This record gives sequence, C-alpha cells and structure tokens, in this order.
Amino acid sequence: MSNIGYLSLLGALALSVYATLALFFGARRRLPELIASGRRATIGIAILNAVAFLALEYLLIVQDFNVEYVARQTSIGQPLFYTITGIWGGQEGSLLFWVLLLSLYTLGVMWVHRDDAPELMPYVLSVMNFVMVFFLVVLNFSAPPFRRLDFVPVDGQGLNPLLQHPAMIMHPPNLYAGFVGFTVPYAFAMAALLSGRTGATWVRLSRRWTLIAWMFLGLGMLLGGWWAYNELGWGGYWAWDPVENASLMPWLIGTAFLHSVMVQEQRGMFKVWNMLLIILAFVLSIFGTFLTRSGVLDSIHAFAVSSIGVYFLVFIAITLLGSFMLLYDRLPLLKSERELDAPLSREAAFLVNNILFLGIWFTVFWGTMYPIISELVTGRRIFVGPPFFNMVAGPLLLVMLALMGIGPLLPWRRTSWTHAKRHVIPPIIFALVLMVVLWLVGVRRWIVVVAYGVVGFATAGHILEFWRGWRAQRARSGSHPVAAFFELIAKNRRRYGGYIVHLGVLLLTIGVIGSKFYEQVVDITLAPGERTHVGEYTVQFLEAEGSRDQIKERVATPLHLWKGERFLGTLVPSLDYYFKVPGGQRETEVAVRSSLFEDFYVVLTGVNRDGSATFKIFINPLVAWVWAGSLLLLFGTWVAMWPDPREERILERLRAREASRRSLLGTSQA
Amino acid sequence: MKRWWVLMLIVAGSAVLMALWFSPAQAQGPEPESERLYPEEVYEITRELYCPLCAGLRVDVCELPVCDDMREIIVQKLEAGESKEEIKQYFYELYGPKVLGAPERRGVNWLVWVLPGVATVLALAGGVRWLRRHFAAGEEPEMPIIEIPAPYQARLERELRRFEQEG
Repeated sequence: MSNIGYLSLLGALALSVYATLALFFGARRRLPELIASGRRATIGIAILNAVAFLALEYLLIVQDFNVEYVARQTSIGQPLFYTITGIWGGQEGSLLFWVLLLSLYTLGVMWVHRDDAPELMPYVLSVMNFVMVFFLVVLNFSAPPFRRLDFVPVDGQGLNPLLQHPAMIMHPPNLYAGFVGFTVPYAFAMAALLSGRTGATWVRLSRRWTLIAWMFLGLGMLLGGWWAYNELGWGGYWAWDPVENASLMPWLIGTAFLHSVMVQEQRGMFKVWNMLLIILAFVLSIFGTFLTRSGVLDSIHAFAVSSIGVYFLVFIAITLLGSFMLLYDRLPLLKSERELDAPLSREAAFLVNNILFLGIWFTVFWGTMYPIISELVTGRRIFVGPPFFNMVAGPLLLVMLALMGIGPLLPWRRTSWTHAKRHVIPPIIFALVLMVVLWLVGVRRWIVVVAYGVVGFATAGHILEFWRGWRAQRARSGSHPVAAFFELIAKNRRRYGGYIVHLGVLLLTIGVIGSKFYEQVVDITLAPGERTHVGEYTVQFLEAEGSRDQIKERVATPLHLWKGERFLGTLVPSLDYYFKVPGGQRETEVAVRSSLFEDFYVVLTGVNRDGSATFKIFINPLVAWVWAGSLLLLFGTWVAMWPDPREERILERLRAREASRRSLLGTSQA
Repeated sequence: MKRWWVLMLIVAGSAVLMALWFSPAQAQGPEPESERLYPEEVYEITRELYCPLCAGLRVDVCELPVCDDMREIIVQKLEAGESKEEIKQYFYELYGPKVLGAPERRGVNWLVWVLPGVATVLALAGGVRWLRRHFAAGEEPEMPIIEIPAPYQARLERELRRFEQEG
C-alpha cells in the first residue's frame, strides 16, 4: 500500500507540472485542446492525491508500524478516531492533507466557474497547479509520508496526547482549508494580470472563495483557542504564540482585502492595492506553514536541520518575485477608473481601515519575527511575548473598532460633515453614557472604560444601521416587523452579513476585555471531603480516583460545586500520564463550568501523599462572549457568502459583456 | 426621530443592566481561606512575570516546577519585606529579560516597541496627506437638496417595490 501511495504522489507531481504548462500555454496560444487536456490532468492530480491520502489512512488504521509516519502517529490502544484523524497530526500527513485540500479547491473552482471568463480560467487553474507542484515537490523529496523504517517496531509512539482532543482534531483541517483557500483569490489575481483582464470580474468571481478561506481560517483560530482553553490548563485562549500569529497574519491581510475589493467593485479603484494585498495574504499563508514547519521558531539553527524550510523559503521568494514582476509589468492596466470624490466617504474610510489593518499585521509580524531577527543579528534570541502585543497591537485594534463604527455610517462617493455628524453623534452619546455608567458602577480601570466605550459606539452605530434599514424595508414592503427584518438581511446579504460579522467582532471584544482584565487565579489544596469558598462559589473535593487503559494512567479528582446555595454539579479535573510517549508525558484535563457571565475553571495540579489534591482555580469572566462572538462572526460570513440572485445578475451581465466583446473581436479578426 | 431615540434608550438601558450585572462586585478577589497556597500579593507579582522556560505563559498560570519555585521565592521575599519591584528585579537578574515577557524598553530594543506604531502613524499621515492633496481641506462638498416631483416619487416607489419583489 505504501508503494501505491508513493507512486501516486510521484504521478501527481508529474501531472501537476504538465497541467501547469498545458493550461498556461493553452491559454496563451488559444489552444482549446491543450486547455481541455490540462483540465483533465487537474482531475487526474486530484484522483492521485486522494489515492495517496487514502493509502496513508489505510496504513494508519492497520497500524503498519514499518512506515515511519504510522509508527510516529499511532500506537496500539489509541482510539480509532484519533488514529484516523492523526493523519494531519504530523508534518508529512498534514502536507499530504494540504495537497488534497488544494485539489478539492481546484476541482471546486473548475466546476463552479466552468462557464465563466474563458480567458481567465485556464490561467487560474494553471496558477493553482503551480502551487500544487511546489507542495508535491516537498512531499516527494523533503517530507515523504510513505518512508519505511529498516525494522518493524512492536508498537508506535502514538499521537501527541495534547492533540487528542476533538477541537484539536478539527483545528488543523480548518486552518489548512483557510491557508489553502487563499490560493484561489491569489490565482484569480495572477490570472487577471496574466490575461490582462484586470477589471472587476476576477474580484467578483473570487470574492466568495476569499470569504470561504477567511471563514475557515477564522474557524481554525476559534477551534485552536477553544482547544487551548479546554486542554492546556492555563485559563486562556490566546497567547500571541508565534504559531497562533502565523494564522492571524493572513487573516488580518485577508480582512483588509475583503474590505478594499469592495472599492474596486463599486468604484473601480484600489486595483494595485488589492493585488498587493492578495499577494501578501497568499504569501503569508505559505509563510505561516514555513514558520511552523521549518523549526525556525525554536532556533535559527533548527531551520538548517530540516530541508523543508529551505524549500518554503525558495518558494516564497519565487512567488514574491514573480508576482511583483508581473504586477509591475501590468501596472498600466491597473489605472483607477475613477478618482476619489471626497475625503469624507466610505472609500476614504476603507483606505484608513486598510492602513490600520496593515499596521496591526506589521505589529504581529514584527513581534513574531523579532526573536528570529535578533538571533540572526546578535546571536541572542530576544523573547517578545504578550505584553508587547497587548501594548502595541491593543491600541491599534481599538482605533480599528472605532473606525468600524464610523465606516458603515458613511455613504459611497461623498457626504457632508453635517450629514456625517447627524449619523455619528447618537452613537457617541451612547458611548459616553455607557462609559459614565461603567464608572458609576465601579469600573475604575480607565482602559476598560475607554475600550467598552468604543465597543458601545460601534455597536450603537450598527444597531442604528439595522434600524434604519428595517424601517425603510417595512415602509417599502409593508411586511410584518419580524418578516421585514429577515427580508432586509436576505435582500442585502453582503451588507448585513458584514454588519453581523462586525457585531460578532464586538461581542468577541467584550469577552476579551472582560476575561483579560478581570481574570482571577487561586491555588488551593483540599483534603478529601474538605470544602472551601472561591468568590461566590463553594467547592468540595470528594476523593482521588485512579484508572488505567492501554495508553495512559489517569487520576481524577471529582469536585462538587455550588454558587451560593445552588448546586451546580460535579466537576472532574484530572491528570493523565501517557506512558507510551518516549519519556512519558503528563497532561492535565481541565474541568469548566461555563455561564454567560463567567467560567469556573479548575486544573488539577497534583495529588499529594496524604490524599489531598492541589488545584488551580480560575474565575474567567465573559469567556462565553468570546465563543459567542466568534460564532456570530462565522454566521455573518455565511450570510455574506450565501448566493445572491442580484449578484448572479451582475455576473451574468459581466459574462454577457465579455461574450459580446469576444464576438466583436471575432468579427473584427474575421 | 422619536422612535430612534426610543431605540437608543432601549440599547442604553440594556447596556446599563449588563454593566450592573457585570460590576466589579462580581469580579472581586476570592476571600482569603486557610487552604490558599499563596496570598493575593503573590498573584499581583506573578501576574506580571513570565515563565522563563515557556513561550509566553504567565507565572501565575504556569504549572512548571520552575514557576512553583518562583512563587515560593516570592512568598519568602514578601515575608522578608521586599517590594514588588525589588522582587521583579531579582527574577530579571536571575533569568534575564524573558521573565518580563517582552524586551526592556532601552537601547536598541526601543525599536521593537516603537517601530510598528511609528510605521502605522506614518502610513496614516501619508494617507491623510494623499487625501488632502486631492481635496482642499475643510471644503464641504455640495449636497444639493433635490425636490422630487410627486409623479416621479410614486414611480420610484413602484420601481423599488418591483425590485424588492424580484429579489
């Protein structure tokens, strides 16, 4: 089976080289047969990638420990679910999963746009296949998943116990779907440059793909945060870890891109800027993988140990150089169709929005890279941790939130100060009232008061936008008030989907501020049967219970929990010891009791000889708002992405315009 | 306009209720108990220190033995009457700047702190300058008030309704 997988990957590499060239030259020389052949090769690549993926999956399930990757990722007694999903738990498997996803995206693009922009699509597929060539080269020559060992181990090491968590199982596929997804808008952008069709068509055709990538990346980060919170036992969900930052960076640039392409669609402006943003988003999605896979984060010297880092660096250099050269060459085609009408307009707000997003991205990039740069320059790694990111990125994020409150209130093209003031003053009044109330009820940290004031301002602005739209919709359609609300959203999916995303961000911010500034931690030792109070809660430790299965030993410490007089239930924090992992590995299983306003979060830190147990207890306010906000954000993306008949009509008009232009060209050539 | 204010009041009222619910009374520190391993003053210091062996974990939430030791040392130093700053300085000398979670703000390390902010401000200034070059500062674009004759108004309403129905 490993030979089948090995040969499939080799075949896929050969086919992807062919498909890249066939589609490129087919489009350039206008050879429909060559393009059709390239398309068939693309299908062939997908089939071969799927065969390789299934082959590795089969080897994992039958636990063929002679295959090095299998021996590393699974062990006897490991639950089948984690054996199957463990395929993306290591480097080689995750790269194989990456090419499978890229194949799925490529097939999806080919199928969805089979009737769209025939001059553009072969280039799009060619660029996507070019990216595929790179990953297949890495898989075949640097990280082969089917490599066999010289001997057959009796048992495997098993999947890292930390990764044996449902959220962690779903986290990588979503993250990869996001990273890989940015290949699609990048391919459309490059195709627009290669074909010379730099109008709004590529933006409109790729918009939904960008949203899909953005949504998956967001979902991946959410699951990563959820996993960290529920598995790592430090009471937080975001630590500004370089691996987290690696996924945040393309997401930030993707967000800037999603905003600025609207200006290109609506006004035919920011064309070069959009190209730069999507090149950056794509390169950052590759760069994220480079950071996490090359070992450069551990030490600059680890980078030299694995060849994979060099492959990625070369690919990033080729991509940047090639994209910028192409962009430079096509600059005359990217002139704005219009000029900015007024400094006070939605276009201008988007300009500031983009600068701020780039500023936040640069902060994250700089903080992530500084340790590497300092090691490279001075030989000494300087650690840059959460205080830097909170202090430098925090204010920029706050300004961004304020702008998020203003942007939707400004119309396209131009507005007067009087008109703008009329829309902005009510949310400002609301924010001021909120800040005073917060102060009066005893919130004394000025940063919290200001931050909630900004959140209040942006929320009020958005609610007013919904209100105005709803009122107009009711007046127009005469529908029932509830029906009018849903009609409003259904008929303006992009706009109101975007507003829902904004509201999700605001909810998330409320949760982040609350949990960051009002988190409490306490360490407690309790004897069996002993009770204690933590804030408004009462906890009683029952008795430690031991158990053992094929891969781990567990000590569980059930606790009864009350809030005031109300019994909330039994929490069971535990400690696991994975004895099959070389050197053994101790993992903590967190117990959380969540409510809308705070989480009671317990970590068992040790069981003592006298039977007592030591716990770290966190009271984390408003964490549920972080999850709720993230879910609302995803829901909003879904709404904005949902097929819209109006957009279909615009696309049809674009298609018709292209067709008539083609027929005119045909006539003139004849 | 009146309904608009009603809405604002409802939203403000909800916010006030939320703020009251989540007042600092809810967020007060845990009551001191005999089972507590460390007094609150220890957490005030450990919240500002970072594990010297992990990637960005605060000492108060870290489970590594080195952080256990740090907490014990803090208890002893507090009992010996040392101040928060003295204790932080002690750990800084012992483990280096990593224990503060970020580079110190001195020498070349200032670059770490100021570069992103300066770059963003410069970019924003560039953006504003670009906008100003295109438009005279303070010039308010003319927004003529258009009176729409009644027949056209009715037609507009009809067209909009049809647009709504067609989707």
